[in-house]
Amino acid sequence: MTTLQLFLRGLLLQAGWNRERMQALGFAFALLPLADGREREARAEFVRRHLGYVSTSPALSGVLLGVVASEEERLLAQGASAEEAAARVAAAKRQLEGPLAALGDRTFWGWLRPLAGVAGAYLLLVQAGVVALAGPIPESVGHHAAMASVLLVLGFYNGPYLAIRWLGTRRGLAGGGDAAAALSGAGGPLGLTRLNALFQILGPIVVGALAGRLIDLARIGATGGGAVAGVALVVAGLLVGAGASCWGQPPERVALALIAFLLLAAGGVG
Amino acid sequence: MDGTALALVVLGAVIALDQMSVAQLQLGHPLVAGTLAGALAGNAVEGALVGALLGLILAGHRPVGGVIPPDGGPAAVVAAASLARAERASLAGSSGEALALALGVGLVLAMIGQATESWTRSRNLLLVRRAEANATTGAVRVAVVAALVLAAFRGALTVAAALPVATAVVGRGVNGAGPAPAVVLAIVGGVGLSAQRRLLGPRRRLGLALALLGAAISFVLGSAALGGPGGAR
Repeated sequence: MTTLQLFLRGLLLQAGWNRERMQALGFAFALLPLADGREREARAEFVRRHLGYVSTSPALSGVLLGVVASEEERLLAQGASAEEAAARVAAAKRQLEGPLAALGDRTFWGWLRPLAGVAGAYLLLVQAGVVALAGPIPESVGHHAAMASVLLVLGFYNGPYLAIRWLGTRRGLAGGGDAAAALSGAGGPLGLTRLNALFQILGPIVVGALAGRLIDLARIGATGGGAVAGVALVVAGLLVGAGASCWGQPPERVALALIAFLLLAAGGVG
Repeated sequence: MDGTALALVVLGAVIALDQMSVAQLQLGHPLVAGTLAGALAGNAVEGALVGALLGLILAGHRPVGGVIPPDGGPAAVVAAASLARAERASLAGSSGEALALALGVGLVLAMIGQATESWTRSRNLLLVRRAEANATTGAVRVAVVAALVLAAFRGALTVAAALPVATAVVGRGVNGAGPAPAVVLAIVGGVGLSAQRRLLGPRRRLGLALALLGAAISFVLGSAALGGPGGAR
């Protein structure tokens, strides 16, 4: 099975996600070319063993798919029994899925995705926000600013995401089914350790920059209230959000309550 | 249904697919989805503003383990498009009340979408069991296609059903006398920023120092770009 084939099919890993089997359907689908050419009963066994529970980080799933694909090819070449194949595949999955999920979810869902969103919002407000609040936005300026923000979010996230997904698939396939080697390679050689260290510097700076931009905007738009009103509004939002999260309230509920308050304070809707 | 609405429904389907089922390339990130929907509906910036705020507020949710997060992508499409369409219909400029209403619509829809997504995913289990019972490669392929169709249909239906209602609701605020857009941005943005606490990193003091550095640089650059503090406004 080629790296490109496994990479592309692996993009459907989450297609049939459900709480009982998690990514089983997508996992089995990615490996289907390996079932072709087998006897009918062997094919059925192959499908059954890959429709079992599996759950890992989509970003690092290439490593797991590569290791299991490589292991399947080896088992076929050795003429292993269905029971032996099932046991070895299950062992590889068990060994890899948890650690890869922890590493990948932290890096991509915990750092990269929110950071991309904050950076995109910052770029948008730098380019178009001031104009939007001071008067009508010249259409070309606003459109370009919005599209630049979209490109920043997509590029910032998908650059590392797709590169690591591809490299992980290649590494997993090249390892000859060695789960331990693939796992030890996920942090260093794939660059995740350095990426995490970089995010720990970039994250706070970008969050702070967005706070500064919001304050700057609010002091223009807060009907002449000036810098103090801008700082007060942003800090009030920060404190309300942080305070509510201490009480276990999700941010969307807090934001909804604040929006309702703002509308009621302004005299109601309609 | 007019051509723009049809395009928005198709966008909803594509975004629902990308958000959970295919590749996860962040087309479903609210900033991206909102901007694309706003551009289709005639105002990319309004769409981007709504999407950026929704993205900040919902960023604390992560689809890890068995968690299904709020449905930010299709919700951003509806919120952004309803704001752009309502403002186009009235020929009025940006209003804080309309922005707040669009955000409220988006947040409510994201929570409803979380429930419908959960239902869709429970249907997927039936598809997996059927494929397992047949135990053929063809059955796996059919199950994958069925799961993708179901996800796309959910996204399309969300946009098709919610867009007319959302446009009517947001339209009521277009000419309203609510808070200035900047006030909504600042206070709701502050709540969204509070959801990014994780981005301060494990070393909180260093993180706060770096955040203050970022805020100072941003503030100074922003003022300089506008001709000095308090500048050409």
